[in-house]
Amino acid sequence: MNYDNPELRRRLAAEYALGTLRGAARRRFERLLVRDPDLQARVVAWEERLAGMAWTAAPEARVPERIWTTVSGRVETAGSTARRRGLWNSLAFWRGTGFAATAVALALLVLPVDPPTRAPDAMPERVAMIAESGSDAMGWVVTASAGGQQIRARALSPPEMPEGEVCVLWLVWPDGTVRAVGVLPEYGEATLAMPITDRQPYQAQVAVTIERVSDIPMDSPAGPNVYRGPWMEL
Amino acid sequence: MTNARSPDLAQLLGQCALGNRAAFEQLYRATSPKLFAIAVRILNSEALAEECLQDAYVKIWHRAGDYRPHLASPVTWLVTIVRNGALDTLRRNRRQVTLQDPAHLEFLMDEWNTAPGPDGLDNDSDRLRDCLGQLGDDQRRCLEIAYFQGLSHAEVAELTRTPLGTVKTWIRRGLEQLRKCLDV
Repeated sequence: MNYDNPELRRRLAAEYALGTLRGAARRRFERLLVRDPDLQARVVAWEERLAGMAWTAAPEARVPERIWTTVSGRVETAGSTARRRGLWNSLAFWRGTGFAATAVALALLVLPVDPPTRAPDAMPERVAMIAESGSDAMGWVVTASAGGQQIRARALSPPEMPEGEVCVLWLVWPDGTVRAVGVLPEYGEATLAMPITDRQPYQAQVAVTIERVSDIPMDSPAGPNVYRGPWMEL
Repeated sequence: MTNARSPDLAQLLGQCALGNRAAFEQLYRATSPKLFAIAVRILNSEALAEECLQDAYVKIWHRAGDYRPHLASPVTWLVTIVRNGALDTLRRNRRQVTLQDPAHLEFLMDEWNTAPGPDGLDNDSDRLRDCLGQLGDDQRRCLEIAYFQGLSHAEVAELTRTPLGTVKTWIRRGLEQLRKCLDV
């Protein structure tokens, strides 16, 4: 298939977001999606349209108050403790949600920051050199600026990934709090979105895991950890 | 259509990420009526939808820090969490594909829907409603079934007793028409 055909790209992005793109076609599309910002933007636009329609069309239902009571109770007991506990190596929060979770999770992780909203490039303040343990080749250079709000990853000689797998960058704080930053690019440079958190990005360690494209977790890694190290001050 | 629509919800999510429980309750009050309706729409059962909504809000609380305001509107993020959870439940429970009450399928155009949502969504909502109204009945119905029941082309074809090629065409044209209408 010629993926440069604009008509085809439009159609695949739409059917991917709708969920009707299946099987091998879906896997091919996902491989492409990881490194194609234009396709990512199209998928995200479709997620917006479809979710917008579902929201608009939904009536304001009467919600039984017991739902809030339960939610509030579950958040009360689980929230403050489980949240702060070491999540590293624990089961991925999203695991089991299957293909439906893919589009937004993937798009949110890899979509480059929208140029108009991006602050002017600041001087890098921290750097992490990422190499697979046991390998001499440097995979990526990750730099952070603006107090950690701007994170950029440049591919040097990243490991060749099996089909359907990508390297995901994480920040790991000493107390075990983990946040996904984004998918490391196969080539070239990518700007990654810093997750909203009250933590200091520079107090975290940088880690990389290998995750399946079709099931990227955002809460805690599911795949094997291939790198972990501190930021170096510039 | 995404950026100006819900500044308040984005702010509430940001507060949730910082552990603000009052903001979480505000977010719940503002969004649960619609999200509950969406869960009921997918699951066709209030009991299952209640469970789904509980899980979704616990997830929302824990994952609020993953929300990136410049990449998706809050509504999209919230609807996606609820829809994914509901479709998972549906897949676990589905023994066979059954056609829902046809009246249910009119959901998208229902007159209930004239109620405005929070955050001045009116313009976007009107536009969406207009564009949905311009779709052919068959196109709209196929899109709804695919989206709300998480079905493939073949499953939609089986469910609606329509040839597969026809379903593919309806869905393709429906999507294309929606895009053109919404992007004007």
